This record gives sequence, C-alpha cells and structure tokens, in this order.
Amino acid sequence: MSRKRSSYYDSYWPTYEPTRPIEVDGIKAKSQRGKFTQTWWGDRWIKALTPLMDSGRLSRGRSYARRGQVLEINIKPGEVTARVQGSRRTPYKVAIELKPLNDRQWATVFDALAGQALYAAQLLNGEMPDDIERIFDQVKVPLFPSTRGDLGSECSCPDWANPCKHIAAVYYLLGERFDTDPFLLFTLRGRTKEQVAAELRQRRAGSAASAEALTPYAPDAIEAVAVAPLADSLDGYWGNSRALEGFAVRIAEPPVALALLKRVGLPSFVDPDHFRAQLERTYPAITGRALAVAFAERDTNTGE
Amino acid sequence: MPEPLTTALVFHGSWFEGRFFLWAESATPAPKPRGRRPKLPPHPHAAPAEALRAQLSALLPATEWAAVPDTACGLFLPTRGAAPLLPPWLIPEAAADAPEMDDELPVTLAAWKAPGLALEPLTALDLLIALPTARGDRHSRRWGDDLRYWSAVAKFGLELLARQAYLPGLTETEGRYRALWLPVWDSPEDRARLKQLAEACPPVTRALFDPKVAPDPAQAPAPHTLLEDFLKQLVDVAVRDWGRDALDGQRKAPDGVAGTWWKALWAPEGSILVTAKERRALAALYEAWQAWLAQLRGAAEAAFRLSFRLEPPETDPDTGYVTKPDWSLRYLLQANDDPSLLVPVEQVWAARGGTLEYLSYRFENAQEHVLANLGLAARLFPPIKESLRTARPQACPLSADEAYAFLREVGPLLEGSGFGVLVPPWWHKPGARLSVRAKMKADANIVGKGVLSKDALIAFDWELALGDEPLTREEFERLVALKLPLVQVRGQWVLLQPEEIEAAIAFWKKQQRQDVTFAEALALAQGATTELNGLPVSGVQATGWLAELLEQLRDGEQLEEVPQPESFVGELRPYQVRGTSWLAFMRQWGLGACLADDMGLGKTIQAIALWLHERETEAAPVGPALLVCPTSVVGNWQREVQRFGPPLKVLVHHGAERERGMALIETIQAHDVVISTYGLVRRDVDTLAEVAWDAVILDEAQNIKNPHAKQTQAVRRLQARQRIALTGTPVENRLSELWSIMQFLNPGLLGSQSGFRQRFALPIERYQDADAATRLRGLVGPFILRRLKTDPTIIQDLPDKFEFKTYCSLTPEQITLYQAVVETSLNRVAEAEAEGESDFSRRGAILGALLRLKQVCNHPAHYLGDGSALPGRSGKLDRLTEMLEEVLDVGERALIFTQFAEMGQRLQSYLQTLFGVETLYLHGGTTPKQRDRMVARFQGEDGPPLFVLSLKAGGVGLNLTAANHVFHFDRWWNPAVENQATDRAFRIGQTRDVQVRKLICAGTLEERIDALIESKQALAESVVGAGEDWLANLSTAELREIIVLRDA
Repeated sequence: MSRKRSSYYDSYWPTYEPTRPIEVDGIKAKSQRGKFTQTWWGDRWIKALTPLMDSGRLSRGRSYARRGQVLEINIKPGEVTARVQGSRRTPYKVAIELKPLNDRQWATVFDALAGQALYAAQLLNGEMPDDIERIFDQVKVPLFPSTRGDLGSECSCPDWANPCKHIAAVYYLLGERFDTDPFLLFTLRGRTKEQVAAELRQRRAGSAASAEALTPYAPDAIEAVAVAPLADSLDGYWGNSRALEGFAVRIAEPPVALALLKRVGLPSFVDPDHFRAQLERTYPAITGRALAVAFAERDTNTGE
Repeated sequence: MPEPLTTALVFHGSWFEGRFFLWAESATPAPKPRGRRPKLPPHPHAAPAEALRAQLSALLPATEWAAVPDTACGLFLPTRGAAPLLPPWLIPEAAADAPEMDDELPVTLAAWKAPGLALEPLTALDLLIALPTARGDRHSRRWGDDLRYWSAVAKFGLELLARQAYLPGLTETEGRYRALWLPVWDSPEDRARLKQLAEACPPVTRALFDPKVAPDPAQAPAPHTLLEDFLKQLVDVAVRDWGRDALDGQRKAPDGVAGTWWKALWAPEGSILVTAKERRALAALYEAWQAWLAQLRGAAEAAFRLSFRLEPPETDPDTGYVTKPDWSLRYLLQANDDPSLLVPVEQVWAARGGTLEYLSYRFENAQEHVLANLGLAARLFPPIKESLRTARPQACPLSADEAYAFLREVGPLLEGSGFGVLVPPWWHKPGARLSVRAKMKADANIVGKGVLSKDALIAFDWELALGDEPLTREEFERLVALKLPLVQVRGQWVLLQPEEIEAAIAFWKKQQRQDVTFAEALALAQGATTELNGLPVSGVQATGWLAELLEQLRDGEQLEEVPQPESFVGELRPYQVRGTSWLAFMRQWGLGACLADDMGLGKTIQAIALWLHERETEAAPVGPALLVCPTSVVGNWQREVQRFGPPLKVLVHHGAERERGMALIETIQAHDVVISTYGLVRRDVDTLAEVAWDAVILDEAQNIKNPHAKQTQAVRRLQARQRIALTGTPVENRLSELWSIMQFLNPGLLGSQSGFRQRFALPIERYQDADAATRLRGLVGPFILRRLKTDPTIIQDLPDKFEFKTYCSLTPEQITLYQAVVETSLNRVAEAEAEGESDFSRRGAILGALLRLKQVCNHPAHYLGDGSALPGRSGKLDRLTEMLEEVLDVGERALIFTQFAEMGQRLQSYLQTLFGVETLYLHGGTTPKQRDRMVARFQGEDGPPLFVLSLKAGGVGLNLTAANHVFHFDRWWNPAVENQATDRAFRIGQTRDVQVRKLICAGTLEERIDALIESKQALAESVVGAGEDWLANLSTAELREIIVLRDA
C-alpha cells in the first residue's frame, strides 16, 4: 500500500489522524460481513456498545477488527488489555474494564446459578443460560454494560473520544470470543471459569475442576493400527479370508430416521429451514438408492 | 461340468489415488516388451486391459466396462528369481514342467508394473458387492482375497449410506476449501468394525504406487488411511449422485458463502471457489461448521457414563392400580467397564469434593461431568431440560407420549451420542405389541391326495393378541379410545402404535376366516412369515393332521421307523433305516424330499430300500419309479439295484438303441425302476411326461441347479406321486441351486425365483444376513435330510475304512474306441497264435491289449496321446470330478492314484484349472527332496487339497493322513498293491474315516477283471503276486470273455 509521504500537517494537527492505519496481520474477526456475533449473548454485548459511541467510530472500529489491526488481547479477571495498530508506528494500548461484582454480589449470583442445574449444564456446554440477565438483575449489576459508567476504557491514541475506534475494535473481538466461551463474561466481571465452577460445585456439595479443552471433533477418523513394512509382510500378502471372520454388515433403513441430524441439531451457519427441508428429502432418497444397489441383481453370470 | 473360461484370470485391485485400480493375473503370459528394458519391469503374467474388459463384461454385464478407462500402476509383489509369484494353480504347465530348483531361491519384494482399469468409486462399489462370496461358488477363485477384502469394505460403506451415517461437511487443506459429505462412524460398534477392517488389510492393497515415480515400499499408505480415503470418497460421491435428484428444485439456495457451500455439496465435485473477500466468511463458516459437528461429541470418555433408565408408572403391588401416573426417566452413572454397576446420580450431588468414589472406582469432576452431559442430553430431549431447573436433578417425569418417544427415537439417539439407555425388558420382547395369532385347521379328507395339491386348502382363523392374551374387539376399541401409545393390559405394558392400530382395524374389516395353501401355512408355522397384513405374527396353532404333520416335519426323531424290507439284500445301518423311514413319511404326505447325506453314507441304498418297502407294504400296485442321473453313474445304479434289491425289475433307458413313444410307455409299465439320464429326459420328455410315475428321483440333483436349463424344465414336467432329490453337496449353502431343487420337489414352496433372490439369496450370500438364514432354514429344513460323516451318531455306525466300487459309464466316443481296440487286439492275438509265434509275443500282445483298453477307459485323450481337451469325453473323469467337488465342498482332501504317468500329469493340470486349487503330482521323476517337500505341504495346515500320485512312485512309504478320500482312477489288478496305496491315508495318524473308491467302467474289462479277482480272492492273493502278468496266461476265449464290451 502506498502512503503519502508525511507532511508538515501531520505534526501540526496532533489530533488529526490519517484514515489509513499501518497494515498489520493481527487478530482478524471471523465475521467479515454482516452480523458480528452468532449467539444472543454475543449480540447483547455488541448492542451494549452501540449507544455509547458515534456511528463513525463504531464502524471504523468494526473494520479495524475485521482487518486485523488488533495485535493481541489479554483477558484477566476484571480487565482486558490489548494492543491495536493504528497509523503510528507504535501500537496503541487499550484497556477495558467492567465494573466488578463484590463478593456479596457474586455469592447472590452463584446461589441463583446453583439453584438450577440447568445453568451449570448450559454453561459447561458453552451456552449462556437464557435468563442469566434476570439473575444479575437481582444484584443490581447488569451482566452487560448498560451505562457509560459500567464500561471503563482507555486508549493511548490521541483521539479525544472514549470509546475510540481502537477500543471498539477490541470490543467487537471480545464479542466474538464470548460466542464460544460465555464464561469470559464472568471473567470480565471478576471470576474465572474455574472459580465459577468451583463456587457452583461448592454450593451443590463439592472442589477444583479443570475444563476439558475443546479439540476439533473428528467423527470420521479411523484408529491407526500397527503394520509391518511391506517387505516383511510376504506371508499372507494377498490377504487371508479368516481375518474378516465375524465381520458383518447390516444394510437396512436406520432405526431412527435422520438420527445424526437430530443429534447434531440444525446449524446456525446456513438457513436452517432450507437445510432441513432439503435434507429431509435427500436422506431417505439416498437410503432408497443404497438398498436398491445393495440388492440389485448384478452377478447374473455365476451359473453355467 | 463347469468349463474354465478360455484364459483363467485372477482379479486383484485396490484403492489408489481416488480410483479403484483393477488388474488381473493371467494364465497367458503378457507379450514381451520390445526395445530397451524399462526401468520398471512389466508383470510377465498381467492381463491386458482388453482381456479384463472382455471377462468382466461376461461376468458382470450390468456395468458398461467399455467406458472404464485404462491405466497402469506400479505394484510391489512377492517375487522369486525374475518373476512375481503366481497362484500355483493358475499356470499348471509351469507347475508341472518348471524345474523346482526355483523353490530354493528366496522370496523378496520387487516392483512391477501392471496394466489395469481405473474404476470410479460407484463402479467399484457395484463390482465389489457383487463378488460371489459363497465358498462353493466355482467362480469364487477368479477373485483374489484382496478383492474380497475390498468387498467387505465396500459393503460397510454401503451400510453407512443406507443408514444415513453421514453429514454435510467442509474441509480445508492449505487454504482451499471443499464441500463434502462426511461419513460418521462414532459408535463403538463402528469403530470396532473399522479396526477389524484396518487390521485385516492385506499387504498387497497397500502395494500400489505411481509408475512414474521411483518405487519405495516405505511410502506404502497405512491401512487406516487407505480405508478412510476409500470410504470417504465413496460416501461423498454416492451422496452427491444419489441425493441430487431428490432436491426440491423450487427452493432457492441460501445466500452468501453458505449458499456457495450448499451448492458445492451437490455439485459433481465439491471445490469451493471464492473471492478473496469471501475467504474470511468461508473461514468463519468452517469454524461454525466444526462447532456444529462437535455437538456429536459423546460423553463416554470417562470411568462412568451418564445413563437414562425409563421406569413405568408405579403401581400398587396388591391392587395393581397405578399410584403415580407418570413415567419417569431416571439418571444414573454406569461404569464403562461394568455396565451392571449403576450409581444413582444422587450420589454425585452428595459427593464432597469433586471426586466421586464408589467401590473401587474414582471419578474426577463428577458433578461437572454429569451436568455437562445432562445439558447435552437436554438438547436431544426437552423434558430433561425441565428437570435441570432444580438444584440436584435425579430424574424427570414423562407423559406416556414422551415415554413412547423415548423408546422409539430418543433412546437410540442418546445411545448414538454415547449415553447409556436402559429400557424396560418388555420393550424388546415381541409380546409387548399388537400381534396376530393364527389358528389353522385342515380338512380331514386331504390325506393321500398330497398336501401340496391345489385343492388342499387349509382353513385359517386368526385373532388379535396383545401381549400374551387374545384381544376381543371390544377390548381393542376400549384401548384405542385411550389414545395412548403405551397401555397396561392385565398388568403388562404393551405398545399401541398408530400404524399397527390401523392394520388391526383393517384386519377386523376383512373376513375373519380365510383359506391358505399348505406352503403358506408352513411358512407361518416355521416362522418364515413374520408379518401378516402389517401385524407381527405371535403364535401359530394348528389342529388335526396339520398339527401332526408340522410336528413331525420339525422333529424327525418322532418318525415311525419302517422295518428293513424283507427283500433287501444286506443290512441297512440304523441311520439308513431312519433315512428310508423319512422318505416313506414324506411320500405319505406327498411331499418332495431331498436326501443330502454326505458322500459315502449310502443314498443309493436308502432309495432302493424305499422302493422295496413300498412294493412290500402298499396294497395297491405301485407304479414305476424314474431315476434320473448323470450318464457316468447309470452303470453304478444298475449294479447297485441288482445287488441290493434283486426283485426290482430295472430298465435302463439309455443309449441310441432305446425305445421310444408308445412302445417305451408300455415297456416302462412292466418295470419297477427306470434308470435314465438328464440328457435323455430332456430329449424324451414328451413321452416320459405321459407316464404316471410313482416317483421321480434325481440323483446328483445339483444337475438341475440352473432353473432355466432345458433339462431342469424337462424334469419338472414329469408327473409323479413323489419327488426325491439326492445330492451330496451342501445344498443349503448354494442358494440358487437350492431354489431350483426345491422348485422341483415342492413347487411354489419358496415362491418365485426373483422373490427368493431378494428375500433370501442376496441377503444371505452377500451380507450374511443371519435372520434371513434362520427363516430360510425354517422353511426348507423339513424337506432336507442331511447327515454328516462327522456326526458322532453316524460315525458309530461306520467302519474306519469304507471301500466302494464306483461304476462309470463310457461316453459314445469311448465306446467306439473301445470296440475298435477290442477288435484289433483280438485279431492280433489270434494272428500271433495262428502264426505260431512265441508265447512271449502272444503274452505281449495280450498285455498290450489290456493296456490300451485301460487307457480308453481312462480317457480317449489318454489312449490317443494327442493332448486333446479333457472335459466331457470320459465317464470316469466326469465321475471323478463330481466326487472331488463334493470332497472340496466340505473342505476335505483326497489322493488320486493312477498307474500312468501321462494320465497323472494331465489330471493334475486339469484338476488345478477346473477347481482352482493347487494339486500336487508325485511321479517317478520326482526327486526325494521334492517328494518330501510335497508330503510336508500336503500334510500341513491349509495344504493343497488334491494329490495325484503314480501308483509306483507314491504307493509305498508315504504318510498322507491329511487325506480321508482315496481314489483309484485306474486299476492295478492286484489288491495287495492297491491296498498298500490306500494305506497312505489309512494309517496311524488318521483321525477320520477313510473312503476308498475304485473307479470301474461298467461293461468293460475293468468290471470283468474286478469280478474275477473278487471270485478268486485266494488266487488274487497267492498266485497273482505283485504284477499283472497272470492275465497274460488267459486263453483267447477267456480274453475275449473279459474284454468284449457288454451292455453297460
């Protein structure tokens, strides 16, 4: 990208920032168009920011988030720090703070959360309970920032406005993270996932936990078996009919139709109605074809 | 007799770079390459692509083989010296002549290049599932074990497709995205089967490489990679191809990258091309897709798994009244290594600290585990979610509809996701459903007419039952009015499914009483018909003679034994008495019967005893019986009938001189038994069908295995009071043969041939469907009596060594040759006598004549020495191959002795090619070292099943107890020598009974000299000495007496 040579005015107007930041390969938002977040709580987070900013900064912040101007984000209980590449060589430092709950407030929240196993069950499955906001209302501290006072933020950029576009960029990216890990919202309010789990357990009766790290799920992988090198496998090189003794297939309609789709649920990333309507047609059709192929007469010439 | 195709091929194949590479080893050498020696040597016995197409088009005509492209592939193959190893039976010439020095060279792995065909996944699927699997199938050896392996893999893939075990997906490799259909095999059963497949992977399937790159065996793909790649491609291609047409074309595809992905899922190839702008969105879609897929993640990877137990509403044990109306789904932890260990989830909530300790088990983070899993399960079954609104959920209440949904659908889904599911035991019992119970009553007057006749209808009454109890219409309507899927009837929970209620209502509307044929009644009684108008059959009750008949058909032990016929010469063994009694019983009811005893148990004798029994016991005169057999055994039958049932008047309807038309019919009426051949029945069927036969008996009934063959249709036209089939092959394992034989015996019993293929043959042969096999056994079992030599109750009756004389008939060619040789030989002996030549030359002339006649008896090609083709020209060879087929079918081994080296060699090569099994040949030229190795191999496990030996080289000293069959193809007129040869198998170390068969051409010198030896046993043992020279002392008249061809 070609940039105009810096001119006199660059330093003369210290608050004037060139519109084009230095291009870097930072953290790029997954969502490159349209909606930023996929979950209702992610949406709520983003929405909370909207009234606090003017639309110009908001949209520049969004495009910063999408272009990867945010270099790093650190989430600690009660505080988020980040570095954002602006037009100056040195990246700006951004800090975001949410008003933390005090211990008494947390105790009230945990009591409420522990009262229904569903909350813990949903959180552990990466879902924010639907009525979580009601619980936080009880302690008069909203889960999502609602007033300017809830959201403490700072940026080392020269912009007089706060939140600035750098803060907004970090804010957007946080929303994306909440999508997959709703516990982070608690972390921002002062309690880590481990702490939340421990508190909940204590209230039901029990101590330390570690959350299972999510690894990509591969239901289509086959367990590796040990094999000798080819040169050492000359005995039984062509196979052995006995190796498959007891191996049987059962070619039949499934006991439950569309079982996998029912297990996995409708996806959010494609129009679910369309998806469902079409697959309800294709799955049975494919079963029909498979059965027809399986029992087709093909070996017509096994006789004379 | 099966004729080998012109060039024998053995097909092989494996998955390589997105195509199934199919190639074949050929009996014919590939043309030698011209020009410079290529780096990668061509396989010297690989079939060219054209030859592959030609044979495949004949074997599997449904595929358009011409459209399958050629290719070539590199292969690592076990190699000795300068050639890859081949199946020993493929090239008999080489096996016979090649210096066996080669055996000394070590076998190593070497790289070869072979031409072949590149099959698309779906073409490969069609081929692989259609491979014959039956061991007895003659074509089975055309397909290498590697292809059989792939056949199992392809069937697994087809199963995945049929049971919808795949999801739409997206993959990313180096920034390129591809939409694809992803197979999902996440159940423990699937994983276990895939592991078995991976472990069974033959090394050769991994031995393919690109011929353009330098061969390196270390680059061979791992079995699981190969499997995964093949199955994924198969599923992906099949879903696209089979699902595309079912899409609703009216619906517009979604917008954005999601739409691009969706369209790519149904395109012929799934690559997704996006602009740089869309790339991010696609990456986001990919992550969202992965998160979606991860919802499948089950919960089983811990010491305990969460399980759900469905419990019916509580009832008061005294009054039986329901005290708590709801069903309940209880949460438990189930130990993974001990499913019977169930811990109520309450214990998890009560546990102090995060760890649950129970007996010797420790379970870390039990609460989080349970909660997370309950959350997962709640997504699949909303009632669970409701229960999570309490602090310590233990169970959730369910309505009857929800309980039903759990039983029908949710339970299996939860199981699929790795949860334990415990349902009440009655759920899996047939009694817990609406069902039909049949009552069948047969008219009393039917006896004697034959139960299969058209007018032998059976009155059929039915009632509806629920659980164990019959259900009246009022009760049924009251239950239906409850509108509940699960109801309690007399203390038992039963299922009322909407579709079954409808079926029941339709049932009431029908007439309650109807008639069925015996075949239908039998199918019901034997459990082969499991559903009647959409309702399961829960019970069958028969009364009157039908009850008695069904009982006896099921349990042969209850049969009344008939005494041994007075006129039977000899003594029937106890199991033969039972066999005869069974045949008599089947005759009483007019049912066709298949006697399928193992070879050597005396099927012939049992048939003869039956004929005698009928004639001794039946009041009315018994009409003639027609015995149809292969030409090669006509003589044998004739002699056996004369020997065991001398009062029976036998007519052999055979040969050019036979009677025809009215004269034939009249002659037949004057006889008890008419022996004819399949060929002649086909020719003379118009006349033979005019006769009202008392019985038609087919010997070697596998001759009618092809239902469309003319001879099959001809024998079906014959009218008889009773039909019997005799066969020694395991008829139940060859289903098309079984249908054809049953169609002859009891027409209509198994339904149409195509229906039979769909219901039984394909499911059993291709997919080893155990249910179908059980149903079929129920249906045909009553009509087949098969006793095995290995059955201890049979073996008790048998001596350890069983000797048979097997009489064979000459073919017309043999007859002509035989008569010509007799003519010239007698002339020469007479000349020698007349010209007063020395005794020496007279003896020489006699011995020469005997030798030539023996050759003719063996085979015209043996006598002519011209290397001409073998099949169909010798009754003796045909008989031998028929019997060897039975030996091979049951997995046993045989020795075949001949005194002629040239015959031995031709037998070896012929048998190898015909049966596709390795056949050893030991002769005078075999070195002691080779001999020892042959003996060791024959005796070893999985050794070659056939061993041809020259009488002189193999008659003494060897230990060949792996064989329990001995065939003397030709005779050495000296019992001592023959017995010595027999004792190769029948000696210490032999654990089974040994069957010895001496093949004798009926009507020839072989039969006459045999009789001579029998009558002069003393002479045979003292005077005869070691040679055959005693025959040379015969006078010319005696000689003529012995060698002239008699009516066979």
